[in-house]
Amino acid sequence: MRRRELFERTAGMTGLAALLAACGADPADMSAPGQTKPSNTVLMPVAELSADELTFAGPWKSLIDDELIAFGISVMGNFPDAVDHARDGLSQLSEGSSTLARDELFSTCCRKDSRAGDVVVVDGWMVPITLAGLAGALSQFK
Amino acid sequence: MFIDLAKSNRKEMPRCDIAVIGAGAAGITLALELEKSGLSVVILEGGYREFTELSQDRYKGEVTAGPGFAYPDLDVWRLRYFGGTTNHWIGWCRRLEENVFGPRTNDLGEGWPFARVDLESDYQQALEVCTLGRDVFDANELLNGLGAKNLIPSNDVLATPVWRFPKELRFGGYYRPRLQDSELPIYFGANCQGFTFEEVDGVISARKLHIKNDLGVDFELTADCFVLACGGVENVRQLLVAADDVEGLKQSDTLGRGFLEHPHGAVGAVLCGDHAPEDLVGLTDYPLDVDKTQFKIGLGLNEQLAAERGLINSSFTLEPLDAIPEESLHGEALRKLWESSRPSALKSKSSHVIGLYARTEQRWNAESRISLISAKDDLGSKRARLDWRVNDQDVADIKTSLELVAKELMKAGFGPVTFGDPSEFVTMEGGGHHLGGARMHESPDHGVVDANLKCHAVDNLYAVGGSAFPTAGFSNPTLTIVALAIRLARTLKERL
Repeated sequence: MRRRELFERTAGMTGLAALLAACGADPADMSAPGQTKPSNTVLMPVAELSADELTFAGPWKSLIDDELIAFGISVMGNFPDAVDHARDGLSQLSEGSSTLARDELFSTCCRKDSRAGDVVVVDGWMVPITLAGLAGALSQFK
Repeated sequence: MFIDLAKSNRKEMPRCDIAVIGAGAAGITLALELEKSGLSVVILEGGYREFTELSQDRYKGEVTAGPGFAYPDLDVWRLRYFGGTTNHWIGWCRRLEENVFGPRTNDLGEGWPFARVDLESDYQQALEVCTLGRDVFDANELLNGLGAKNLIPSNDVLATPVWRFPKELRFGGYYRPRLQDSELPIYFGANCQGFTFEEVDGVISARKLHIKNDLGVDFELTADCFVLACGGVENVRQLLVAADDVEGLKQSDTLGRGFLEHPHGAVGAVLCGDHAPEDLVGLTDYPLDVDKTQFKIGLGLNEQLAAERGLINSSFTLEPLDAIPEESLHGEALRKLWESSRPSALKSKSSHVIGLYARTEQRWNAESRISLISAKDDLGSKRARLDWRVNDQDVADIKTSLELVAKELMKAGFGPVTFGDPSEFVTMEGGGHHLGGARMHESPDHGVVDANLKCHAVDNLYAVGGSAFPTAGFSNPTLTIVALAIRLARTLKERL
């Protein structure tokens, strides 16, 4: 058996949950206590976000590059709700806020996610859900 | 007393009570324990005081490993001279995990024929033999002694296993003066070629051991008891040779089967968050404790949680890395995004990278085995073949355990964790731990040796070392091998 096949066969709860998600089932039904939220490997159709829905991510636009877009597209394919989570946390940033204020808010949200276990696994990375959601939103800027 | 068999002209060696074959960690421990027992004991070492190519060549064999796993040739990790493989031992020491002794849940095996508590007094002595100093394997206690804080405390998910490192790693070098001055004879260049067995009233015993020196001259040794203490592959090879004459050694069909290793591999990396590598005393380095012995703290799953979920035991150690591993997707973008999430005071340390290195258990697998091949060494002994196999479920368990540990790391203030390219799992290697080919079991239907390490099929033949491990956990085996040798010394003293 090739290693790729081994991985796919042994992805266990993670891969299975992603497959179920692609079929429309709720991955949460598959999650045992303590189980990390499901991973990638199967992308759902990506819903495009409106300009209004992207406003909160504006202060981070300077970070956009091809790699980040690729990661963000994976987020949108697997955890589109992460964007809502990120928007809830990061929208508090007032217009014209400093980079310092931006970073501190992002830091607070990520730390809160990590401590609560609100993390997702995307393209082999386990990240706070706010970080995933922000990347997802950033991938949507034209 | 050291004797070079190549210079001996007595082909019939003096009869003894106990002949120990091998002078590595187990053989030297037996020598130390039996030295003043009043019994006549002989140690037979195939090599010499120092490494020789000629002796080492006899360890060559064939190796294969399952997909996704790699294993070096048989003469790479084993050393065939006085002190054995401790001559390049790094020294990782800890007791086997308690749950390994069993009984285990699901398909993790029955465990050992005795509990860890039954080995405890032997472990205490083994700590001394291994020059490990105080019996402290608690992360909090070790860190408190250094005035450092445990930044990743154990909880109902996470455990923090501790390894300690001996002050003296080389059994051969450290114990040489004592054993050289001892009355106990240690023969060098004594290459064991097999036994002559006899059967009396249905009981089979080994009567004579056949030995060749490096010149090919034959010697014979008669003893009341023989002990194989020559490592996890060589013990099995010797028993497989003996099985040509003793059908009972094949009775359980476990001889040579169920070879166990500790799958090792770099399985991911974590970005620092609130903690820089230098803050993680004992986790990312190997500090000296107050006793001046080094220690290392790892991360693992809580034993109860692993048992509840039917997972193999896994541990992960942390080592600083220069950069995010190449196989991780989007690494630089994630690093930049993560850095932007850190307050300015933490930015400089937040994107340091720490590698996650797995050291895990594996399940019993009948196809993971040691066998004999037709190729022979220069003295005419059949060489060994090792085929290391790891179950798919073990790989799945490692991934599950890694995700659970990663989540706990993030809860403790670390940043994102990468497991590499999700379409490929890492290639794993072994740890140089040759275990399980002549497993211990109370019944001859399921094991080769009994709880006293005596072969079920041969009344006076013992096999001590990693070959006897029925299950192996993730802990490095040397401390347990030494404890088993101490236990065996007691058994032999009682018997004789």
